[in-house]
Amino acid sequence: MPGAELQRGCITIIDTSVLFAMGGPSNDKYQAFEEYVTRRDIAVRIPDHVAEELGESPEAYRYQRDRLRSAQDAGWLERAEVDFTDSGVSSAIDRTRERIYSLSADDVTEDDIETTDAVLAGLAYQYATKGPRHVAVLVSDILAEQAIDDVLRSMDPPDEIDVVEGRTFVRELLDDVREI
Amino acid sequence: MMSTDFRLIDSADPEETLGNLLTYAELLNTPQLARLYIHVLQNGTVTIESVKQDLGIPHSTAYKYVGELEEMGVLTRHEDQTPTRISVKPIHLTLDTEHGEVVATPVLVDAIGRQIENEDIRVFVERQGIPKLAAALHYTLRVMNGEMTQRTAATKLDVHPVEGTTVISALQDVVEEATAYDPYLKP
Repeated sequence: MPGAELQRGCITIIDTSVLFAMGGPSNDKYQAFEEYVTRRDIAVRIPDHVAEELGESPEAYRYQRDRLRSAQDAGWLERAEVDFTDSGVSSAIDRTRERIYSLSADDVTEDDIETTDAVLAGLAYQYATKGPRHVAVLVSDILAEQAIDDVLRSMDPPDEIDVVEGRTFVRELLDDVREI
Repeated sequence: MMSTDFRLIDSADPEETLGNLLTYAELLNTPQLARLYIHVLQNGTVTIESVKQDLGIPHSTAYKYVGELEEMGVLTRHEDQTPTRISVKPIHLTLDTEHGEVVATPVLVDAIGRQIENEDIRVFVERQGIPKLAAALHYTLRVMNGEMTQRTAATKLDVHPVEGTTVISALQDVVEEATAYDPYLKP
């Protein structure tokens, strides 16, 4: 997937794992991402569900919470409320959860599937149906990426949603910066 | 989808499967020693002097570690050359963990060595220990193969999702680089 791009001015939903893969504010990957989204006027959103998961993490991972806070303080990342009462949104979440389950290995039980992964798809669907801006999802997990992409395509939102593998994306951003 | 299939293959030579954690206890518990071992493994046959310089470790420490690796039977001195050169062989052992049998190969040693510079791995090991890191590595490979999501892997590891995704993110970097020198990690 060389040279994946996020559309200028789009809304990009990211998972915490993408943030973790970037490291903290002193990391080159983090800085490259911050510069990219700022320059392209991209609004980065993290679902409330994901932010809460981070808030409830063990104290030893306070530094991960600090990374999220730094991005919020810098103004390029905001938490977003998922409207679970919207039938399209909840359907996207349920279907993604089911799709993750069906794509997972045989020793993965239904109880092993976290709803949090699927919430990303729900929020993407919510933005795609309600707002004028193009929507992208960045996940750093090939199975989640596949499931979210499959479900969002099948639901045929008014505007196509880009689902991008976050680790590769961030690494390529950094390579681009180095080439310049 | 990524086409690479990351998998640890079983050793072809049963003698290499020592299955004895004690033999390698020092290697798995000493990040500096682990780092030296991986450095030599990555660089082939090298002089002790160059290892010392590359890693910035004192003379006495370098010789102590070389001696320890030799005692474990993983390091060979090539004394027919001047200065003496050293090389190491890839380890392969089976660890019994609460997640069943987990195979430990150089990629695990690399992860252990990276505690020195990598906070994500250091915090995990401090909290969970080396056998759990071995299990986390096992699940990282499965995540990279698209067999489960990182959050499912965290559930299986029985750690908080943030702890799981943090260590898996860090281990993915280790695995990607380790395909170059770990013969048991089959891309």
